[in-house]
Amino acid sequence: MTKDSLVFHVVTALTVLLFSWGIYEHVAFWLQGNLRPGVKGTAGEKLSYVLGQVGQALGRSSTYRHVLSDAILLRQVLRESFSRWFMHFSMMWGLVGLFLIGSLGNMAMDLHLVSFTKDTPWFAAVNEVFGLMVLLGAAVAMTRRYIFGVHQLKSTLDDVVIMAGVGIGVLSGFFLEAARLNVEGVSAGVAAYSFVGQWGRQWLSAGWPWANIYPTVWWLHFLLGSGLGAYLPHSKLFHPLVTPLSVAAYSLREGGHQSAVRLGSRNKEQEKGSGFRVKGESQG
Amino acid sequence: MGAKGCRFTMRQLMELDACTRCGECLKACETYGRLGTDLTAPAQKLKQFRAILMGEGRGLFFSRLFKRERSEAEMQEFAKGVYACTLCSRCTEVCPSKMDLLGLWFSMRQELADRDVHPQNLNTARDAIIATRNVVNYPNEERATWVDFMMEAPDDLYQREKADVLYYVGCMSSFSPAIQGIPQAYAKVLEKAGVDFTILGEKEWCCGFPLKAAGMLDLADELIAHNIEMVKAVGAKVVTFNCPSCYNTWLKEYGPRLPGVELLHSSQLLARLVKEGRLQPKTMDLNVAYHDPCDLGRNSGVYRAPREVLAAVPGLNLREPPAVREKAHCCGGGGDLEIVDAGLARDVSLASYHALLKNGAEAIVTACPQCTRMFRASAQRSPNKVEVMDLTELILKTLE
Repeated sequence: MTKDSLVFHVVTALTVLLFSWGIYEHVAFWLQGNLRPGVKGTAGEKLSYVLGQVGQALGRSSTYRHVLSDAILLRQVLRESFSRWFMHFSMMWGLVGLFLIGSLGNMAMDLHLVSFTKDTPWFAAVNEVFGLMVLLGAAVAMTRRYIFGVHQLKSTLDDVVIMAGVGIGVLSGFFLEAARLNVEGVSAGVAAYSFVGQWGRQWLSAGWPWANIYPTVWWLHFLLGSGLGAYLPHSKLFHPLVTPLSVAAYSLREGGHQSAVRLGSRNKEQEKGSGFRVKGESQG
Repeated sequence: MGAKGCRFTMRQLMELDACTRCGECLKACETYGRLGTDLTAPAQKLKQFRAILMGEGRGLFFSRLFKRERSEAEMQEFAKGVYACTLCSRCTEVCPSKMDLLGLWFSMRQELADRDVHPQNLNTARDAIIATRNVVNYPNEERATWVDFMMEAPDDLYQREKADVLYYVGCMSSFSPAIQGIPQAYAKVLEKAGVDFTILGEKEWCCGFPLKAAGMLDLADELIAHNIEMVKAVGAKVVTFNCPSCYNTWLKEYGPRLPGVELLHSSQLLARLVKEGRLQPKTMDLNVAYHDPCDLGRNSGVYRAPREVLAAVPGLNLREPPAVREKAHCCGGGGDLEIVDAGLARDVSLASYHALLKNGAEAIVTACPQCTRMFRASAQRSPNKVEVMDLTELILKTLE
């Protein structure tokens, strides 16, 4: 194993460890709650309850309907504000796409599990599109937050870290792609599918030592990505993982599985006759 | 957590993590809209409360390593924000994560009351209910005095041993002179419709909602048990209410223990009576705005019935305000806010009062004694004074 390979695996393992630890902290916190209002429950009862609720949620069409409309398509956000919806949708699905297709795709390539390469047209183009989505979403987010100063948004250090990390991470990715195309001498015809990288390539000065710059940028991009991944469950970025659970829990409440009456669902008002008598009739 | 253990369910603790801090709840919150402080912002309350729990070492590693327990003064300051809330559920309505924020607020209040950091003037209400079985601290024997003031009240003063329908009047309607017209109107309307009903008089105890809103629902057990016994003693198949807070409390806390008993708000019963032809309102030429009470609309899902009743009045013109149904504003009178901060409650009420009149209504109709009381007070303070009526009062007018 080379030194680079060792560092890569150690950093990846550390990222996975910190990510998993964060998830575990959250779940352990949730499990401290009661089974139901006023009912504490043992660990076994809680596990059984959670599995039961998951089973019920998976068995209801309303769960899928709500998760699709509210967690995936963000319907309620769209109703309130187009700019907020656009920002959320672009950043969320851009990042998901970059991870699932970009990061995992690259790993699969390195392990020779797949036949496509970085220059395969669909792979190159899709990664560019996802990267642009993230950048556009981040630009809208920063404009709303720091230029228009939308009153309802309270910015914290966490917001700055996330936006800086995401923004620099994606920009470094485009820079990295431009450098790779340069170093590997990819022809214009093939490189056209990495349209942002190919466009950026023209700005890269021919006199610079790209053979050295490229690996440095690669490590920067990798470390940034790993850092964000490790930081995710410890930050505001954890909410995309939890919101679908909250939406699924709502779908169970809406169906009367839990006691709270939900808004928007127009609780069916009782219509069956009560059979109460007109005064004067016998009770018989 | 407090001495009585955790007040939160697993789902609620998960919801503390589901907040995206989008701030939509801030736009919707009536009290935040008046005060504009982080203290009252729903999203900030969730974030702070989670930090409080983490600071107590509720997490696994980092929170135990970096424990930071809040002082009593800090907790009381936090509690001020939690209780500066009418429990109107507008925040729940707009939350894109579909969190049950109303449930969270109730649990948070229970947690804070357990730790004795709740606003201490709520103890006055608590002590009143324990001592006198009503929130206004009057002798409960005077609960049915509103009947004494009626012209042509029956000899039995509506208190019968057995009846199909039990009319549960509620503390505010029973004792507040400003709104005693509401139970008087409802009783007359039920009489005219030929409904066999009874009231409990002094045997009616507070439903427990003020205690629930204070975070002291545990203290309502005796009240609940007593009222349930009374329903069974009367043999009622239906319990009807004017007050949506009583109605909602009965739905949530009593309903599971009263199988086979139907719980109907006055708007629902009136809608049924109109549909059956037992009430035939006469013409009333008036432009009215209907205000959806929070505990009836958002918290109980009842929007259609009151509108069906209004639609049955010939000549009545419904001028819905811009924010209606799920988006309706709050009268300011809920969530024990009047006890905690009466000035804030009045400010919220006045703003909502003016919002109701935006489409040219000449009168306001609502289906809640507390909303009626709050808006009548707002009308006194406003240069634009209109009549404020409960639905039952309006219907009685159309029958006379």
